[in-house]
Amino acid sequence: MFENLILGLDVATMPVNLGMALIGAAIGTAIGVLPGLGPVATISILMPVTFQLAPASAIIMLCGIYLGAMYGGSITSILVNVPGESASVVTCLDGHQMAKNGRAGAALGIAAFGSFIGGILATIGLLLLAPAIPQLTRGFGPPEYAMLVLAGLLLVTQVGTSGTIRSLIMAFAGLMLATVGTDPISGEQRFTFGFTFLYDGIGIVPLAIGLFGVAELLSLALGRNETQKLQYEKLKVRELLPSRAEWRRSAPAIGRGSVIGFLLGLLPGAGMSLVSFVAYTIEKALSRRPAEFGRGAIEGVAGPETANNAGSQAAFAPMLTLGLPSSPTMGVIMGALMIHGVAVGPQLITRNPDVFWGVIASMLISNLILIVLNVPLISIFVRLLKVPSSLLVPLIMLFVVVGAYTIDNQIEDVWMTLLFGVVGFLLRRCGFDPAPMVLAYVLGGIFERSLRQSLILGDGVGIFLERPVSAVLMLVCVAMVLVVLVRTVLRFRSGAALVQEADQT
Amino acid sequence: MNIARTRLWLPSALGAIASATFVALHLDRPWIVAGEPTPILVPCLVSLVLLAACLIDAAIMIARTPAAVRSREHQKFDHARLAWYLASLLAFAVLLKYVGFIPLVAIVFPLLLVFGERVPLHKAVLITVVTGLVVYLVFERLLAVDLPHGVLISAWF
Repeated sequence: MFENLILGLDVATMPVNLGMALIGAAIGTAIGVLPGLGPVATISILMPVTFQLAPASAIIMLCGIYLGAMYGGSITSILVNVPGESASVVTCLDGHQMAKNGRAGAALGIAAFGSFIGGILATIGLLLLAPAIPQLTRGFGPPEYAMLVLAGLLLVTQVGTSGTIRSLIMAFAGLMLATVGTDPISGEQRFTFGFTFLYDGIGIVPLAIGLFGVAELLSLALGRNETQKLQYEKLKVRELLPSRAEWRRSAPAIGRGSVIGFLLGLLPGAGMSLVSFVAYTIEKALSRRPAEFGRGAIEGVAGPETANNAGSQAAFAPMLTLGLPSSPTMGVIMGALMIHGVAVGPQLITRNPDVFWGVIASMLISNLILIVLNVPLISIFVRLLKVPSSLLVPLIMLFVVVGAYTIDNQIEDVWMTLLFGVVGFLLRRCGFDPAPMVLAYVLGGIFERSLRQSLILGDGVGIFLERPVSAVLMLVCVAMVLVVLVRTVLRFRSGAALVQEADQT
Repeated sequence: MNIARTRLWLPSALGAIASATFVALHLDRPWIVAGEPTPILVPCLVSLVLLAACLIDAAIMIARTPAAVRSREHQKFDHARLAWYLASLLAFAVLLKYVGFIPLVAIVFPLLLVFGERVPLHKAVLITVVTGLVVYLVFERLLAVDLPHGVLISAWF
């Protein structure tokens, strides 16, 4: 374990990588502070910047952006009651109340320290757990992978923010998009309609930048043009340090948040909003002063913030070791790794140990950078909220267009980005969350290859039942589909009853 | 009127794409030939599930209570601003190849700022000049990205 950690630290502490972690954390926090732009949009927008870098440096920078954006979201939740991303919604409940009670500094401080401790503990967990995952999956063949991907996708649809059926629609639309281009087995063209730029399929970058970046910016453009009024512009470093009593109350919440975040972060599709919500609910249930929750309880900030940071780091384990991204953000990071020629999966540890251990160690460094950066510079980040959206939105949009072009210096990538931007915007307006689509798109290639190889190997679908692991996973998939169907029928009935009632009245 | 029904167009459009894909592929050739899956197997399966899910979603939307959907309509939106953004994106998509990146920024960006964002003209011009310069220096000079120069301008010079 220590040899691995030393190898990782060797990579992460190289001056160029330290610089990338620092730049990533700073830019991630700066963009994450802006309401509406969460980690996935931030990473999607900034991904083209990493194309010029070596794989290890690129993913270290993306990790920094990710962690920075998560913390940026917490700043706006506490100070202006506007969550930068869904995981920070829970932080608003007590964080903003603390700010109103004159403890804005302590709330921001405990969020930063809690995230730091949770991040460190999660990284230690990853160091212990990650090498064991490839051992566990040594016997995995195409049938197991096909079922694992299917189970992961169905799990994502169970916890999607737009409802199970709509998440399912998005996931299968993503699988459909993944079939565009040259067939990986026969080499035949599918759905390319004679366009040569589609021969390699739809790129993950135009898809992610469009669905998350451009769509988010269009949604901001549709909203009213408001500038935030700031009451907490000047915060001194001393104000960010929680009192001894606050530390005493927060310490158990930070411990529990680390464990909850780490365990839930490993699950596919859990999502950081669920992680922080579970941590908040547990803190409230265990608290001796439950009545204080919602009125500025520091445990209500410490628990969810710690859990959300621990979870976001634990999510790297299934992505790097199994090639299964557990959240849309991980899907986009996995896409970036693919562009850099890094094949994620059980062989990553042996083939690219520098990338794997470098990423794990860089999380330790990024957490340290974040706390060193955020405590003294928080006032500067907060002032970004004063920049009117009338300037920010067009400027970011312009850089998004340039970023899309720099992928391959192709105008077609700009077309695809803008097209997916409009599609993503329409999806949101109609109540569809595009996250499962991107996740399914990333997994689509693995799913199709594994499914077809399994059918060739086993001469039919019987192979999925012959092998114990794939049989269990198949049963899990069937159970999840049945749950969806039963729930939909029940909802459909209650919905029909409500319409009848409304018509009668 | 049930407002939910006006929101049916998206699942309907996706369902129509899925069914057209399924029919076209299914009529083209079999899913499995001599025990080996053909390249249409996965698209056919996926389009079938997609179609089923779209039908279920449409049914739920029709059955939903109107009040639950109507409550989402009470938000104020700046549609003129959005229209300017969409027009700018369209201009970029259509004209980028012919006009080139920097000239297009010089044309579209001030229009978007002045009419979409109601920024005063002098400020919009200043922001455009600074932004254009930054993009040119960072991408074209520093990162050596060959930004599109436009076929029309390239033909003149």
